[in-house]
Amino acid sequence: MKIDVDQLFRKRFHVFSVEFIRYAQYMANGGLAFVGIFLMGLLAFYYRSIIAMIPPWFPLPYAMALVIAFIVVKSPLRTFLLEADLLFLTPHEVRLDRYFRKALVYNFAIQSMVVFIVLLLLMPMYTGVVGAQGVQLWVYWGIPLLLKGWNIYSNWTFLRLPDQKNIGFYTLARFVFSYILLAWVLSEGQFLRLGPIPFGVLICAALLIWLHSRMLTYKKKHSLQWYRLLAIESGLRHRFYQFVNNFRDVPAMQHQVKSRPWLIALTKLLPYRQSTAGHHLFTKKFIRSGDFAGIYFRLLLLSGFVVLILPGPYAKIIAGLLFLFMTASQIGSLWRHQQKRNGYSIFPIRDGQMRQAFSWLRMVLLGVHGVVLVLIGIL
Amino acid sequence: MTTLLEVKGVTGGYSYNHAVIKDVSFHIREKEIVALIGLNGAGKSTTIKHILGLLEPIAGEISIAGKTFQSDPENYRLSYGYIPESPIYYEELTLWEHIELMAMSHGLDQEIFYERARPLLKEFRMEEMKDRFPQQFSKGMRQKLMIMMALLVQPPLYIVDEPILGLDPLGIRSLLTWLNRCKEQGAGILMSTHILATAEKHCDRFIILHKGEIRAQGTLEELRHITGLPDSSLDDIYLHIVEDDGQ
Repeated sequence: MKIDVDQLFRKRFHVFSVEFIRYAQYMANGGLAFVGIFLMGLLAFYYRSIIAMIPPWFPLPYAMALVIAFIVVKSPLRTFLLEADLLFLTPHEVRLDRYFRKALVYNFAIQSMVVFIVLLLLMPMYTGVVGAQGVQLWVYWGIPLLLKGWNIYSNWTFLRLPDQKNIGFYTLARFVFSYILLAWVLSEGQFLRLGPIPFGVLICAALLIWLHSRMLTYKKKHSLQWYRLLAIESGLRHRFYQFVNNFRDVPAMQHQVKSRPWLIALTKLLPYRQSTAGHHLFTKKFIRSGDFAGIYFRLLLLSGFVVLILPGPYAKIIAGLLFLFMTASQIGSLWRHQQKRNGYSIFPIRDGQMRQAFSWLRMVLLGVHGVVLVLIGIL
Repeated sequence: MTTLLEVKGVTGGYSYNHAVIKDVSFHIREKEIVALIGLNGAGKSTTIKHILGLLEPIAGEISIAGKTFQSDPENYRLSYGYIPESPIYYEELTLWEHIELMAMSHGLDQEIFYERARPLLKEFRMEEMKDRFPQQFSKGMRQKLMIMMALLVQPPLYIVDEPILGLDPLGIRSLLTWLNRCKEQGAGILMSTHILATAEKHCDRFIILHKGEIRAQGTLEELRHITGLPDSSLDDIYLHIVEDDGQ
């Protein structure tokens, strides 16, 4: 039986787009989207004055190269594979080349949009502080997008390696290559230049040749790693749900559990008592779930950063309050998550105690967040 | 001997128009293990859900130690230990944290908790799994977690739903030994099961549920007498009762 690879990809992509649009509508309907847009507006309003605060000794081109290198090298690959493909698609592996090529093109299209947005955000710094213009700007837009494409292709090739450690090594190599090239380009050829000899670009060329020779070898030696591709795909799908979950509760979401022993040690501070059983349950749920605690700490860091760079007390206070509101609504979903497991609850903890335990946890988390923001604001 | 569980004329199910169990009456006293046997869909799990207070009877009344769920919903839940057929657990808690929280929510002293938890872990060979998450367990290990959580509390009444499926032979032996020990110490146990040979060996009385109704109940001797099949095994008696119905 022959399989229509093009149609298969079209079908998978269609299913994904339908889901994406549905969730996008969900997100747009939620109040949090407005808070996010408002915060971005606030940052945009102060953007020029924040740029003006950059001291002249700061090596801006190299810092920008670092940011862009991160964005360019990190190339997660969506393949739209399903668990059942292990059974049904593996026999057709040799014919799937076109399928995966289409998937790579899709990934390039999406990720270059991210690169584009980052470049757009960094543009005022580059033209304003460094004073770039003319051909230099074409290079500024062109090289990162080219690098993105190359990174997607090389990452895809190195994913054939059976050992995860080796892949990490080559990701590092890709990063070094991308960073040196970007730093060389953005500093207008000054990076690692000793007298007349541009060492930067020589190192780049050597790295590129070496990486491509490795890729040629591995392409011949190893075949696709199906389990890894599936793990990556489900991980990315989870990330997508997780992102949407910031705005609305996603029913299809499988909450990931992380053991986090260093944070769990904190729960030892809670006394062992019948009346604190609910506190133990909620605190452990919060710490262990990748989503609740993960988002809380991300919001904490982001809000601290925003409050730090925003000038003037009013902007700081408004941004701080908005972030506290976002945190509060995130913690609210912890309660809804608990309520969703209706039916038999295994521990005989009274409803009133559960409610009280949840309010207590919310108070502690918001309190910590608030204190951190006030301390940063005073600094 | 005191009656622990009293089920009186209970008719019930998931909706008022469609009763799954009809006029079911039985009781469980101290120091006995009673088997609830029946085919798939006979109403065993529905009966158990009514006892747990998860479903409200259309008619009839269920009381544990004289108290109904309606009269004291908070304490009713503390008066029995339940081992569910399919394990229920929190993905975010380790094995040890599950049993600790169980002890905590039942108001067990911390020393008593340690005293009881260690031998249980040893008996069910789960010591090495102590700090792992049930998500990584096999079905049998999750079942063991449920069993340990119920045994830890040492309630006067146990409700055990199909405990043997999925357990390894050593696990089955451990479970039955512990249940027998609980019984000798005064507990009453209701055990729903398909495995008639095990039921015959370990249970004092049997309730045969068929199509939502109790067809017969009593000790093995009494069942032999009712069916007129002396010297028969529980298996034969059960098949006789159920097949009779088909004709």
